[in-house]
Amino acid sequence: MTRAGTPRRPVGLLKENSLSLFFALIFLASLVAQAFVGTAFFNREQLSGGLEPVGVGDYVLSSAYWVDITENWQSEFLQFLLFVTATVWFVQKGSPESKAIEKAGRESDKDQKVGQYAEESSPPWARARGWRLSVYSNSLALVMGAIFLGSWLAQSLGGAVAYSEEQLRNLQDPVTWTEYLLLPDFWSRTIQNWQSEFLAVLAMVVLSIYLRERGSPESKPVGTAHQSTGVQG
Amino acid sequence: MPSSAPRTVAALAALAGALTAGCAGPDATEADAEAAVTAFYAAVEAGDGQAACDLLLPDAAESLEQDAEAPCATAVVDDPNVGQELAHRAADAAVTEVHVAGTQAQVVTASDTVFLARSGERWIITAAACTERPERPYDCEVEA
Repeated sequence: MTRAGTPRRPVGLLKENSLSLFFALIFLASLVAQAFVGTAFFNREQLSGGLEPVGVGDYVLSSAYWVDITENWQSEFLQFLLFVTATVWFVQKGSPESKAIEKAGRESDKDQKVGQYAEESSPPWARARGWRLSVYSNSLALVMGAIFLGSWLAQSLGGAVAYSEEQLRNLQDPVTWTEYLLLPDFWSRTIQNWQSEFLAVLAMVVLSIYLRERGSPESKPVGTAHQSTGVQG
Repeated sequence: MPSSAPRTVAALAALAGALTAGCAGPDATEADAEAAVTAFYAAVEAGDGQAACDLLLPDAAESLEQDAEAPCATAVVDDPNVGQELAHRAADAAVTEVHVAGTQAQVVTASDTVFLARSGERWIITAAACTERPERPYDCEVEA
């Protein structure tokens, strides 16, 4: 928080946004690392086939790179889409990832500070009525869902090319995108990521009933009872 | 930032194009793969074994030499088995289909299905004189 009229100092901005910055940095570092490791992996196949290796620049434009990236993106955004929406109606007694049992559902306008209950500082569309309020009330899930579907579509497009590339390497016919959508390769890449995301959410919801991480908003305060629900540290 | 949206759309379109084509320049890439096969069969038909072998994956040329017990440039045009088979297919080598997926390609002619791989800046033939087998890899007279 800054005092009115006082310009924010860079250090203050960094601290206020440190969580986003931390994840942005490790995301970009992972993306770059994946590019180099993926190039090395791809080139092992090129060299064993008697072909010249490709550069990192060529590899990051290849379907082989993007199918691996987007298959993970789609599952992560599906995870958050489901987590954001399922926690509206489903609850877990004792978990800080759940709201209080009696609050299951969309909750009242008063609880949600919308329409006539909107406050001075509420976002403009929270004060609106009709479609704008409906859209804004679901905007997080809508955007998460759109990124999930976009990533899944990109996975299928990249996967079709990467699969065809492997087919041709093995002297077999390539496949079209629509053919690829029905192949086990597409669904195996998809579901193997889904299962791990669902397990991670389940573990987080259940383990956080009994275990604590002092200072983390994803945990209850260390001394809070196991039975307390909807309490964040 | 009035110009950032079109730039973003253009960047996304380029990414989508790269994803669907496997890499840059799909038309030029397909034309290059087709040209390599056309040049290969033109060399076979002209009896220019060395030019034909220069378009082959070295491992495929080596395998051909072992099978024919002769240098590649000789085997590819004179061998009674492979040479005859290639000469037969060279007689009708009009390209009907080209499929490119990343660093691999398949060029279908009126009488053959040829497989290629991108190596550096050029396409080289990894398998030729291929016969389709249901649910299994093509059976090719020339392959690594």
